[in-house]
Amino acid sequence: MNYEVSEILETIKMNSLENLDVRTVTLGLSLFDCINESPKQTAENVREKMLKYGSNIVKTADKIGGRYGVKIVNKRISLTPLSLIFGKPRSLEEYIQAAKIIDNTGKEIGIDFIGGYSALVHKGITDSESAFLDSIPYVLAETGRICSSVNVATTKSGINMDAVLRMGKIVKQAAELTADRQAIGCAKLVVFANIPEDNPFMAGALHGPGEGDCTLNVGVSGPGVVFRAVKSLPEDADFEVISETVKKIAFKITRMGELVGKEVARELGVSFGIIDLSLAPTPAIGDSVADILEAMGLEACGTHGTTAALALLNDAVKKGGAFASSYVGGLSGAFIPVSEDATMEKRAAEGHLTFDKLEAMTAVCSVGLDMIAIPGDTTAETIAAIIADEISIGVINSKTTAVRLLPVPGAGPGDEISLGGLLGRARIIPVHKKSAEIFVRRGGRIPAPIQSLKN
Amino acid sequence: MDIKERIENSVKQILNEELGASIHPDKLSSISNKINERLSTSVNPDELVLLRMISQKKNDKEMAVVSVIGQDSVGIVAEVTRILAESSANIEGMNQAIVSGYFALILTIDVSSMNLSLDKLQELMNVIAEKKNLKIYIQHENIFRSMNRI
Repeated sequence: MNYEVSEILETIKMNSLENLDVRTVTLGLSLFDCINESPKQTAENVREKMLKYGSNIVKTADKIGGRYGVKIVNKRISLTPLSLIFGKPRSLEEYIQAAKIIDNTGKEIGIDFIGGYSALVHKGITDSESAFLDSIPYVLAETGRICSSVNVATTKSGINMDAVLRMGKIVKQAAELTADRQAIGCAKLVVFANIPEDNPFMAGALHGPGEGDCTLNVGVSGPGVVFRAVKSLPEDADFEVISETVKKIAFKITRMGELVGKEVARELGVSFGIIDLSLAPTPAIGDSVADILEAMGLEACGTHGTTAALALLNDAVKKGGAFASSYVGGLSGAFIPVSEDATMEKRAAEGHLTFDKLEAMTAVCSVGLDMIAIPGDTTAETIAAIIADEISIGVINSKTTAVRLLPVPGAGPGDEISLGGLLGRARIIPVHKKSAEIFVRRGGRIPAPIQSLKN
Repeated sequence: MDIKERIENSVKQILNEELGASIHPDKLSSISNKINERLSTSVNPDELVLLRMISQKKNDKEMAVVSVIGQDSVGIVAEVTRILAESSANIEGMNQAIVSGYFALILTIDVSSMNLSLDKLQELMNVIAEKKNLKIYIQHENIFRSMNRI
């Protein structure tokens, strides 16, 4: 036999007991060939393209998953930022009508989410983009699968503070329009700095303008596997041992993801894009990034030492993964979405993991302040200030950062919301009360940092 | 026909089949000449023959791993192997152990001449698994290769 029994049993254990799975296969579609004068016709063309390439994605993913005994949890589609496709400014009704056509197509195919109701406004907002931005909260409220992302800054262009303030208002409005559903609209809306063009994870997935016609990107998961490996180390194992252990596991996870992704792409007849090395937690017990940090020796995730532990974890995952695949992309880092990580949510509810600590953690991981429920009376300006803080971490460090906040209407600190499924549940975390209104209302653009002058 | 000529003809034929209509004939023959030129400088004919033998040997077989894990009881091997025999899956390797009180049987099987799909085989195994209180996993060999070999 070519393989040791222990190797075979280890793989089985990872897949069946430790929640190792392929989190998502995301089919990226370029929509430039779908553009039409009428937004409705544009959406119909998008529908045709989605059906042409994506009809078999669920069946194919399940088939390949079965062949290797690996679960592929989500099947998704990412689109060229739709603000670029709809052309000139349209009416709210037109945007909603087009979005519904696309949303229903996703439902027909059987995919979980569609990413790309997006705009890239990091340097300026055109009239069309302005009208498009206004439509986001309504589209999120009236569709089920469509996700939206807006890039408000890059290291090269600086931070478009006008866009940041607009997003503060849009997040607030998205929450209000879905107040009856625990502000679910906000769970499908991310504000980015340095948005990647090939990210397979929602809600921030889009198919960048520089991408090809049709590409399959893969996101793996596996916090449970890493947790068990770290947990099994003796308490006096030094950091080299921890790092090596994580690297080895990351290598295996990545190889599995790449194999599955390439097979699905081949079967669908599309090109394979990238594998995203992120450790993405789920609300399932034992599938938590916070568990890994605690297994390293922290009494509770959020206490002093958490940022260092996360930095070590994130770096080791990247090193192991980068060796395993030539085409690494997307976000590639550990995620810390509070509501989607059972232990993180618990520590936040207990008060050990605060808003400020979460912000510090985002400086060393991907992707940002993610899935955090905040009080419903938080003003649009405060949300904009939170976005500005987080985005500046990304801009200065030449990395992707993002904000996905849920200002749940009517809810205050300590209240609990439940979003269901992979989105999990969350306790409302307090934010600072003092105003940043004058600051965020200044308008204009924070200049690109000196780090951008690399040429 | 000598070996060089046969290789050149095969390259030409494949390129023609795959790209024939989509590419200018001059470009096609230029690509085929370049491949042949490269082959003649990087691989000698003996090596090519060897390579072909090896790749043929590989292509003939498609391996999968059947892992049976659970509580030990009479007749597990008999039941599992009966289904494999009926499916025309050849057993190439077998390893059985009792790991911390649990029965573990790992079979490597050649599925290239199987008379049913891996999905179907898994379904048949699931029936035994349920009856005997076991877990039976069938996984294509590639997953173990990609995760455990560099």
